[in-house]
Amino acid sequence: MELPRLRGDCLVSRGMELPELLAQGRFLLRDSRPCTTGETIWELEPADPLQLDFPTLRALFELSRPLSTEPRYSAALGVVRCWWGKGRVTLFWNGKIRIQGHLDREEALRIAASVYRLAWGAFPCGVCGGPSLRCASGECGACVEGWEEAEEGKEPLPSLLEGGREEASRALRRLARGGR
Amino acid sequence: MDVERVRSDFPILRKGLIYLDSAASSLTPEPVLSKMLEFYREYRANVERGVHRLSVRATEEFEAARREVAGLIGASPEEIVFTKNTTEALNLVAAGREWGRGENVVTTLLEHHSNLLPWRRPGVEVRVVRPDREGRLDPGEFERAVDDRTGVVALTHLSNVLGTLSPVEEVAEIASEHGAWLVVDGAQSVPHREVDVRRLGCTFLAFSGHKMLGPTGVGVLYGRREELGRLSPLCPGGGTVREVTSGGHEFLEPPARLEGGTPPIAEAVGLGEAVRYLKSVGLESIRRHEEALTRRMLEELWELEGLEVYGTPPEEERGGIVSFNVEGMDPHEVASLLDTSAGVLVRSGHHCAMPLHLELLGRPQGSVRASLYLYNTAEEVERFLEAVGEIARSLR
Repeated sequence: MELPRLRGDCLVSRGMELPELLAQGRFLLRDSRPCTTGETIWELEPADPLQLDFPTLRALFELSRPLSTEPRYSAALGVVRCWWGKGRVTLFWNGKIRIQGHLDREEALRIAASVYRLAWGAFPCGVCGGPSLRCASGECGACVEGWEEAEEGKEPLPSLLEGGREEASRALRRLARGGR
Repeated sequence: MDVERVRSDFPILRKGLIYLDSAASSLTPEPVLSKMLEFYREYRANVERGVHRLSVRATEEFEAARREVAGLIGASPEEIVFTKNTTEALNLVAAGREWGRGENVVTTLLEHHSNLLPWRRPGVEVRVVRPDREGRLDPGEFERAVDDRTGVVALTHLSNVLGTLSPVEEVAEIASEHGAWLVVDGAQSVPHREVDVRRLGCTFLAFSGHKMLGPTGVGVLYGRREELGRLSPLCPGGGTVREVTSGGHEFLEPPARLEGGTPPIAEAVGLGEAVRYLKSVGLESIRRHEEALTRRMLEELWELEGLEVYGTPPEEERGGIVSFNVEGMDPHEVASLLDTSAGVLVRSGHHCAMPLHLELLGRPQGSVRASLYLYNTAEEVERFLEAVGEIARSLR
C-alpha cells in the first residue's frame, strides 16, 4: 500500500495522544457537578482554541457509525452531538468536548480519546492550515513530501488514520460533491 | 431608558457575552465598584464603634446606604437589617421567632429552597399551597390553608423559575385576619420593579444585594418595627448589646441587635450605590424594558417545536424570567451549548426549587432559565432565540 510521506511538523506526523497533551497542559480537563444531578460532567478543551473544519468533522462522524450513535449536527453552532458508548458527547467547533453520563474520570478520558482520534482529521494542521484529514489522505499539497510503500508493521501513520485512509478519501470525495 | 448608556457602565459586557443569568446574580456597574473602592481607599474603618474620623465617615456612609435601601421600598431605616443574603434574612426570621406550640407555616410549591427549609422546625407543621399548572397562586387556597394556628405565611413575590407574580396583597389580608406574619421573598422582585412594603402589607421582606447590581455578601431584611423587635438575634455578640455584665446583658433595639459583629461594610456601601443607580435609571423604566424583552422571548419560544416553556403565556404579566426545556436534552447540555457556541450565558438545573420541578413541572432534571435585566437588548434576545431555535431544530 502506498502512503504519503508527510513533513515532520505536519499535525499527522506529530500525532495526538490525549494523555500526553493533558500532561503538557495543551489540553485542559475540568469536571463539574451541577446541583443535585449526582453526575459529573467532564469537559476537555484545547488550551488554545482551535477551529475545527465542520464538514470534515461531520463526514468523520458519519463514517464512525456505529461507534457513535444518534449523531446530530449543527453547522450554524459548530456542534456535533452523539452518544459514544455510555457517554453523551458534545463536540464543539473550538475543539472542546463535553461528556455526560455518570462516568468516572478514566471512562470519560477513554471516550474523549476515542472521539478526538476520530475528530483529529478535522483539526487544523499547523503547516497547511487545512483539516489534517487532507494531509493524511495525501490530498494536501503543502505537507506531502512524497509517496512510499508502507512496510508491514512500520506504517508511518497513526493507526486510525492509516486504517481509515481509503474511507477518508471516500469521505472527502463525497464532501466535494456536497453529499454526506 | 437608554440601554446603550447603561451598558457602558458594565465592564463585563465589553467581553461580548450575552448575559441572561441575572436572576442568579446580576452584573455590577462601575459606580458601584468605584464606591466600594472609595471605602477601602479613603475611609476604611469599622462602623458604629469608633470616634476617630475614619470610623465616623465609614459609619455615615454605612447608614446612608441603609437610608437608600429603606427609601427604595418605602420603609424606615430602623426597619432595615443588613444580612449576608436573602437566605440569611429568612433564617433570621425563622430562627428568631418565638414559636408557639402547634403553630404552622403556610408556604407554596413555588418557593426557593431558602424560603422553605428555614420553616422546617421541630413541632412546626409546614403547609404547602399548590399553584395551577402555569404557576398562578389562588388566594382562595390560602384562605383554606391559613388558620388561627398559622404563625407565618412565607411567600415569594416573584417566582425565580416561572417569573409569575404572587397575589401578595390579597394574601397579606388573609394572614392579617389570622394574626400571622407575612414573610415575602423579594429576591426576584425588588431589583426589577417598584416595591412598597406598606402597599404589599408584608411583615418581613428579604432580598439580596448581588441580584440588584450590588456586591455579593450583603442582603436585606426589612421588618415592621414592632415585629423586628420580637426577633431574637441569630448572632449575638459585638454591636448587639446596650449593656453586658458578667451575669447578664441587655440587647440594643433593632437593627443593631440583629447585626452581630462587624457587618459587611464595603458591601453595604456598594449596595447603597447600586440602589442610587437603580433609582437614577428608574425602576418603572426597568420593569417596562424587561417586560418588552420577555414578551418577545416568550412569543417566539412558545411557538418553537420541541420546546416546553413554563409559566404563564406571553400575554400575562410576569417578570423577566423564562424557563424551558428542549425535548430529549438535558438542561445543562443546552446551557453549555448556548455558552460555547453562541456566547449566551443562562442557568440550568433546579434553580434551588426542586419541589416545583418535581411536583409541578414533572421535570426532575430541572430546566434552562434565561433571565433579563436592564442591560439586555432586543438584539441579544434575537441572538438567544436564534441559538435556541437551532438547537431545537438540529440537535435534539
